[in-house]
Amino acid sequence: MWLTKRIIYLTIILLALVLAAIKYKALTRNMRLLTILMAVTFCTEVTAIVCAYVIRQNSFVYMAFGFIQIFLIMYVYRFSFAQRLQRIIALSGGYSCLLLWSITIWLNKAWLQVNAEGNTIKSIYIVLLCLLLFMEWLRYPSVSNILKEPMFWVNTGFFLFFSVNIFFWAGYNFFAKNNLPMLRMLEPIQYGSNLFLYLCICVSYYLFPPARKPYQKHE
Amino acid sequence: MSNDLFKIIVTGIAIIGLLAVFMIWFVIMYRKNYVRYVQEKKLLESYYQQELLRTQLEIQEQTFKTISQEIHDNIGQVLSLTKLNLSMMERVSDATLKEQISDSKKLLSKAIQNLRDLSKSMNTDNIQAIGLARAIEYELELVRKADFDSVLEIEGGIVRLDSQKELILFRIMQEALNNIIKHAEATAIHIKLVYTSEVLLININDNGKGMDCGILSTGIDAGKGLGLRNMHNRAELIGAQLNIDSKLGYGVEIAIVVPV
Repeated sequence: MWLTKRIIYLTIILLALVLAAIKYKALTRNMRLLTILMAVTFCTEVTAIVCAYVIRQNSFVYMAFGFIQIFLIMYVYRFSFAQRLQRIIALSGGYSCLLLWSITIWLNKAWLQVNAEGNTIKSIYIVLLCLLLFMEWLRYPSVSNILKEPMFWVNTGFFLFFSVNIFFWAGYNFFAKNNLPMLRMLEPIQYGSNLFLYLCICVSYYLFPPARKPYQKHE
Repeated sequence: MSNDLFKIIVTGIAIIGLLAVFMIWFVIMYRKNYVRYVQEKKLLESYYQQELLRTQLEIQEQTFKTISQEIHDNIGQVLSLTKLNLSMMERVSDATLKEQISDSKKLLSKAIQNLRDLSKSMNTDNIQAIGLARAIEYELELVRKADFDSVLEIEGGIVRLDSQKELILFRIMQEALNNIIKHAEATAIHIKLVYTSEVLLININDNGKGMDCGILSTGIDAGKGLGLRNMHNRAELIGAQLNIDSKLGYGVEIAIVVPV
């Protein structure tokens, strides 16, 4: 069952990568960075599966992936924001998040276990970026149909997935210690939201190139 | 255990439901904001266009004023002096030469009169001083000289409008007359001013060849009828409504409604 889930998950990532490869020339800088993130995610997941089978341990793979993920998402949003203040928030927040990710690993000696605190901080940071981008679009709406904008789907996917993740990772340690079956039951929600994220990313690649340049500078 | 499962399901649905509600709210708000943004953009563009037009008109009026002064003070003086010289030359005994000088004097008098008319017609201060109705009357007198049968009809007591408004209305009327003279192949022009307590109605009619109204609107859109577009823009600038109605072979009717 675990492997089946992983295969479905990897298939969707692969689909997103194929779509990205087809439309790579039309992709904007933020979407190209997202493509790199997707490729890294794919490699990470494959490595994690192999490690789980071979050495029965794959937490360290996700530790390293956390750094790359935060770094790439930070720059995806840095290039998505039109306003200077939001860009500064994205970069300063991103580097702070990277620092906190390292601190949580060091404090919990979490190379060989799940970094729940780090994941919670990372999720909060990404949800904040999503909200900032939603706010910016509300303040400066420049396209008539937002549903046809690739970045809207990326942002929606990230927003839903990492919002669920905040709740999941915030309660992870508690449930892991006190109620493991409950944690097992929470996992499908997280898995579902993860699939939703990658489907949203597929939609965003599918929508490329947009009808016109969506993000104008409003400085 | 089943209680825990129930809690998880409820929590899960609540979280996803909240996020879904947020997304729906976002899309609705975005659409509202976009409509407002488009309206604001249009308003700004229209404001910018009006400012641009206002500036253009100011420059145009200033140019008119300068030319008018130049005609009156310089060219007019030179011609008058030439006429005086010719009068002195009339004393010669040669009859043929005398006749030629007399003809030249008549031509010069006509040129001087035409220049004075042009100077008055262009002079902003003059138009603002005598008022719209009298300025139109004066303009029609000039048109009459060009063999046009022209009539000005005034209904209601004449009310003086804001001088800037009157000037713009006069320029619209001049543009209309110019179009009739140049393109309409008309023989008669009828202008009617109706003063009411709230609005001033101006009707300009001719008996020319008329035009197709469809072509008229597409012409304006495509940027072909520059004169007609100018009339529309000027009317818009003073909050007036300008309507052009025409049919091939039945002349053109221009109706302007301007708040008093």
